[in-house]
Amino acid sequence: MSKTLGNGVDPLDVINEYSADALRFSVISGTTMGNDIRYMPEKLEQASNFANKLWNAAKFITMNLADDNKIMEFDKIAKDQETKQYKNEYLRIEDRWILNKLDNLIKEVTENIENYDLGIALDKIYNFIWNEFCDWYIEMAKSRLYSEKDEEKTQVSFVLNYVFGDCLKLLHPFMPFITSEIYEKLVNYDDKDLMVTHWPKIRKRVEYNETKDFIEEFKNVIIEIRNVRANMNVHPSKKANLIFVTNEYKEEIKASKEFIAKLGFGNKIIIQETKEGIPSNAISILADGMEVFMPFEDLVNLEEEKERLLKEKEKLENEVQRAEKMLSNPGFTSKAPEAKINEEKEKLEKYKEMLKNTVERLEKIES
Amino acid sequence: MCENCNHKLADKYNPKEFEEKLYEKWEKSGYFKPDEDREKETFTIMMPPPNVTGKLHMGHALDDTIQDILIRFKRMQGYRTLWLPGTDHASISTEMKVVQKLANEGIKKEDLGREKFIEEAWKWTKEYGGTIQEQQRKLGCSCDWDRNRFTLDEGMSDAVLEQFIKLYEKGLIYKGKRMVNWCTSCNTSISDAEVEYKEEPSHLWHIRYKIEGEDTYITVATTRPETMLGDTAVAVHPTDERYKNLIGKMCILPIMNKEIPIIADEFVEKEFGTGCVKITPAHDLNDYQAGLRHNLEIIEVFDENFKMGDLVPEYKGMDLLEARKLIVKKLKEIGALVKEEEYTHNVAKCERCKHTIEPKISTQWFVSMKDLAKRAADSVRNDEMRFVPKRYEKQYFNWLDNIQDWCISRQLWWGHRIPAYYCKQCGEIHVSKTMPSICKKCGAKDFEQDPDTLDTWFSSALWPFSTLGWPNTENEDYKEFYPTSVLVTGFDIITFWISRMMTQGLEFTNQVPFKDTLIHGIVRDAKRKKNVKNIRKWSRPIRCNK
Repeated sequence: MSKTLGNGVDPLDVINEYSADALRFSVISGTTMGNDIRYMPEKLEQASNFANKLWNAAKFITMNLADDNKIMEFDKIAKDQETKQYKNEYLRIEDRWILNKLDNLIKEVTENIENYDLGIALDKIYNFIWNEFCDWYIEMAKSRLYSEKDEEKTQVSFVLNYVFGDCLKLLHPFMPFITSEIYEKLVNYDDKDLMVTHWPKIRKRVEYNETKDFIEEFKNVIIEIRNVRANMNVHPSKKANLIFVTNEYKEEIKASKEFIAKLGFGNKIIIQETKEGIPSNAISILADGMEVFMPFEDLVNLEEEKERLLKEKEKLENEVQRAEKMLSNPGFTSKAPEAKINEEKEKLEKYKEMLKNTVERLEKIES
Repeated sequence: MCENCNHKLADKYNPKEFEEKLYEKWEKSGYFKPDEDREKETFTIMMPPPNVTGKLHMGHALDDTIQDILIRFKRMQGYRTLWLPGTDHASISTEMKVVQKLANEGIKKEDLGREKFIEEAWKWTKEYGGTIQEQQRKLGCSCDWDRNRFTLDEGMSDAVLEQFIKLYEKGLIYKGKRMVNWCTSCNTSISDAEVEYKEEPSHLWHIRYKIEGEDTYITVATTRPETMLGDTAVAVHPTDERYKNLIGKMCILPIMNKEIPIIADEFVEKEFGTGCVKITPAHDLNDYQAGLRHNLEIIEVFDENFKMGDLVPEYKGMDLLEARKLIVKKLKEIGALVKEEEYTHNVAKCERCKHTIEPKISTQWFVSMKDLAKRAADSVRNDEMRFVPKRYEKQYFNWLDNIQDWCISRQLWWGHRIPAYYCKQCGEIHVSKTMPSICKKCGAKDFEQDPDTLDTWFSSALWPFSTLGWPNTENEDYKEFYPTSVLVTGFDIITFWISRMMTQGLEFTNQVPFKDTLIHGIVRDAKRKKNVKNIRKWSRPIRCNK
């Protein structure tokens, strides 16, 4: 961070040290028209991280993309020439999910800019690129992109190129340089430079059922799996079988096995209609339309875990004892400031809760 | 699709490798110009012109980024977009810098003469000008540089003359005596926008004036005893019970030993000092206005160089502060000084040179604003022009609904010189684009042009259309791109710039000059409250024209 950034920022210093794009991002992101802007150097770091994320995504995509003519050919056959909509049978559910999200993003961002809500528009684009596209879709896309099967690779290349290309269009007014530099390397259909190409039209590109949204449900499941594993200190290399109990999403899960296993640290993906045969100590995650079970033994070494939990239990018991003692000591409760007393009370509650959990987990193991 | 580069991006994100290169490519490809296709709907933004010798600060960066986002968005949406850049000659700011430069070389502006001075100012402008536009390029601004304008270039100057003459012929420009802000160091009148206030420790002197024919006194409180020589009344608030019985009586002005009336006026604050104030119409704006209301005589205490005048021979030629001391001493001696208390007050300072501003009565040129202002306010009330966010229209209405006539003459050399020519024989005023050949009144042939130049805002008020070839309304650009779509600027110039573009735009083009006005905030430091000095530097609002 430049010394000059402490007092009185010179925009030229920012451009030299970061980039024009980062400067532009930093004065627009998170702002509301008409309000004063508290200019924080952290914004530049955020802008810089975003530019790097974008760059790395672009590198990954362009390095792995199928041939240009295959992508263009795919576009032709997959598109209904009348409605200009991509036909369901040519795309997977995650493809239709991201394309549908893109449709919504285009609509919202266009309206936001037309209403001069530039800060809101930029933050939406940022979130879409960072979260939905990079963190979710690219991860879901990888197995097909690396696939030996030509049609799979072309299909996913088409979607990656399409969505990323439109993201760059939406982001271009805000960060014109990096978007142009990257866009040149993508497959584009009109052969125009990004700056003078067409703004994405507001229209329906795909059919996607938002009320029965498998991918969003699936994302929740994955997030929950990650939480469980983090809470239990499970090493990423330790894969668990994932047992999906569902009537609704059988097909979708079957088709998505590869990335489900990858994103959910799964060993085998098992789909069944009932809970039959699932061990009672399996950890369950409930989502709309499906329930996922992870056999406990898959996640932990029972002996080690038991030992760890016993230690944990002892520690927590001591903490509870300490806090209870303190709170029953009139010398403390009459003299200490109220905030301090409340703090102790809260601690006690927290330890009690943790102790309860630990005991429950121990009981599970012992059963 | 790039055939040469084989889909390869550099390993690491390194903006230095491509930002400048891309900008050159865009410019060379003509992307910044409006699309050739005349069928397309237009979208136009006029860039608020920064000071030609200025440098980009964070406020500009914000302002320019917003405009560039809108222009790039509309361009991609298929509009025929024009973003027209330009710079302002910034009369007072540039003139001051050139004066300073000459002073360093031991040369006085007056010794150099007007013509040579203006040459120097052009030299200065050429040497230091243009930096900010280089910086705007670095930021990525996609404006049409081929249409770049400068407020002093030929077409723009012609527009200013046209504007002045039309307003004059309509009776909307007149010469009058008014109280103006006078910078005693820059030696020119300056606009309210260029005044800043600074707290300074001083004193509040309580001085008693004897009531005529009675053995009682009325005590006034003042921070400026030296101006009392020019008092022409004492004022109290009409409902102030303490002084009700004195209203209408006369009192004796000490030192001058003359009778002045005691008047009632609502502008007096009962809580300030003793609740009685002296009225010196020549040296205070409130007093001046009270003087107009009560038909009081205006007596100037200072000479034109802001030294003491000859009202009292023993003070003549003295510095004001020196005279203040002597007058206070004298008041003490004659028993008129009742009390002297410590007092901190806001003193008006010149934004540029930091010297004290004196209110001064002088002959200046004015634009009569009442009707122009009403139309400008109405057009926002009728939604012909829209403020975004809407709350900022309050400030606009406040200004226009309480409008004062606009003082447009400045005692400067760098700028648009007032196109008024005085017959050397009979003094008749001729307003025209060039020097007249014969006086329409007396037939004499010798003329002298008014030495003053116009307020910088006078030319910037025309910016949305003078940049497009106006007054030639047949100009293609004017026909295609006017009125403009949106104006993007900070809230600090709603009154001085936006309101004036609106009044002039409606007067001369019969249309609002822009449909939307997008107001953005000021860029502040994260720790804005802690470091006042830095805040000042940091948060300097965009004052694009100044």
